[in-house]
Amino acid sequence: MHFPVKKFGRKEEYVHAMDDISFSLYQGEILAIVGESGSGKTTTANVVAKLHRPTSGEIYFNGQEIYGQEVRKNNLEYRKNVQMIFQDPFGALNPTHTIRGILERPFVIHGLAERSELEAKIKEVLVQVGLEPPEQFIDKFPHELSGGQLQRINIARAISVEPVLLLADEPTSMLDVSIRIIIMNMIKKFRDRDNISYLYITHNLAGARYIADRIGVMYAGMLMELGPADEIIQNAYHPYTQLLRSAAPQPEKDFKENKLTTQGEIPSLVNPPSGCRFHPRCPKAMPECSKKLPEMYQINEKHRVRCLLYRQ
Amino acid sequence: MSDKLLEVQNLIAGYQTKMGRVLAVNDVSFELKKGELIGIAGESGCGKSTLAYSIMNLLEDNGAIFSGEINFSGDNLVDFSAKEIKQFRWQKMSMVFQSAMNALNPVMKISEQLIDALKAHQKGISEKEARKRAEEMLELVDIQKDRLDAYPHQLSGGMKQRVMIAMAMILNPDLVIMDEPTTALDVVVQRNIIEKIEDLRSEFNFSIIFITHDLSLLVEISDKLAIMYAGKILEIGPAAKIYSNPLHPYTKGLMNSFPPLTGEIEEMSGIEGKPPDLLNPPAGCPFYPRCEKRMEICKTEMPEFKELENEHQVKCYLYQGSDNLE
Repeated sequence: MHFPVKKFGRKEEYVHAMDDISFSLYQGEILAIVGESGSGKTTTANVVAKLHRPTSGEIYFNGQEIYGQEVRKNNLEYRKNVQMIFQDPFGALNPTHTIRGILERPFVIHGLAERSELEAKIKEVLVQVGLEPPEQFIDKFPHELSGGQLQRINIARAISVEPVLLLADEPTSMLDVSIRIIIMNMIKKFRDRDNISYLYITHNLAGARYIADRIGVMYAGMLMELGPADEIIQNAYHPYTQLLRSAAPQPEKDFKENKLTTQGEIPSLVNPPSGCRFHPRCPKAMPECSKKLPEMYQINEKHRVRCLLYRQ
Repeated sequence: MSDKLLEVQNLIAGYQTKMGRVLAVNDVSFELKKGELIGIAGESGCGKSTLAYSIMNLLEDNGAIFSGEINFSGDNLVDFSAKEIKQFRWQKMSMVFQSAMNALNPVMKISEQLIDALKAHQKGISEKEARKRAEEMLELVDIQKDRLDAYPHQLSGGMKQRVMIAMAMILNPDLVIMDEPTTALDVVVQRNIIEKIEDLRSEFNFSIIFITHDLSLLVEISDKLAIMYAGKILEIGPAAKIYSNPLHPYTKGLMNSFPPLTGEIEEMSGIEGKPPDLLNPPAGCPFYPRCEKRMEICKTEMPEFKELENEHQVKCYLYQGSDNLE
């Protein structure tokens, strides 16, 4: 097995699949990508952030291919427009810099503020993420703040350059439960105020439903279902989405009521199953599922499913 | 009562640090019946793991039980000598640790690790018997017995966690403490493990202390639920009651932190602020600084438990005065 080469090959294929289904994100929209670990959610964000270059397939941002000439000439502007919020708030901030040092960098790099305005700008953005009074935080080091406060700094750093698209990679999964909703509400607030679009990556179905307009479900590197958030949860078509749905805790039900119908684990991506990648675990698998890779079939105007059951 | 297995009374435990004593478990009392599952919910740093380690007598060197009793079917574990507790631990109570990835020895086959536990407690058991028992345990947790000689890195995360459960149950204990056993796992794998635990519990009738921050999961599986904050249990009672009628403002806040999967999507609020520094705990109720319904008295005084309904108890001045129920 040519392991690393194969692995990169996988990524190409995956990005191509995204292109196939014309995964699009609208202005001011929150699109949640859910899936288990290893399903390719983070890779999706990284490719959009130009951290990995897809070997085939195209990504258009405001109508321009992100590896095309226009964007390449203005790469810094693309970086300004597309910002990231990382999963681990402790690891995402340089521990040897103060909050001031961390937050002045984006202003300086993108030339958005004069030296003399920096302090005022930093304070303003600190207030926006609820760290008040800002004087109390500006000269602190990351280790002096809690996880929730650090994640606010991360958000502050991302929104300070007035981005168009924010890639949020599990921004709440490492935070205490009582803080998660607060961070999610903050993300929504900036969407409503500045019309920022979000690619919101999470493994938490209930959280995705709470925050997102649309949800895309990924499995083993492929997008299995894409549609309006509530429809995906209440009326899932793909057997994998149904599995995820039944695995999520539901306090309103008694435990014994919902039993899992599927066994097994996510397949190895070095040698993925032929045909539909979910067929080895699928309770509704048909003989042809192992041979034919399903396309994204249209359920209605906004809802698509990659499953042969819904072939027209 | 004969079906009472564990009774923790006024337990105070914590750590001695250079900056002073940290009481991570501060005056905790609860009871556990045979075959019952108690869920302990709380955020990081609230003392739930310290509570587990205190009961197991596995606190680190700088940790100690300062006062209180842990009665386990008639014996007070706090009084046990190191030798006695060594005998007792794993035989009568065992533990499933949070990170199965690190809890298994990476250079030993899982067969050796399972058999090790057997041999340490059952003197004179033959290699063959021990191996047979290890095989049975693996099958019990749905791992084929030909994986017995695998090394931990050859197993997936979910399988490792199931090996941990097999190891915890190999001596047929009365109590298994599970400290965030599914936190590092994916939802589907998590569900598999939980279903397995429930099957085993109904088959062997052992008791479980299940510790996690995931309240929605806990409500679903627990018989009894305890909400911990800053080393104290603030509310305890039947899980269904706490879910349908949370009383303490902290419990309400926690409940308001988990978006539902069904029904209307409402604006949720979470809880502003952060837990207190346990080096300098507040004088009164530890939740006072974050509480929306705080009163003057909460600043300096901490109320006792008040039983409002059958076994549903809460420590909060909102419910001290009369027998009013919302």
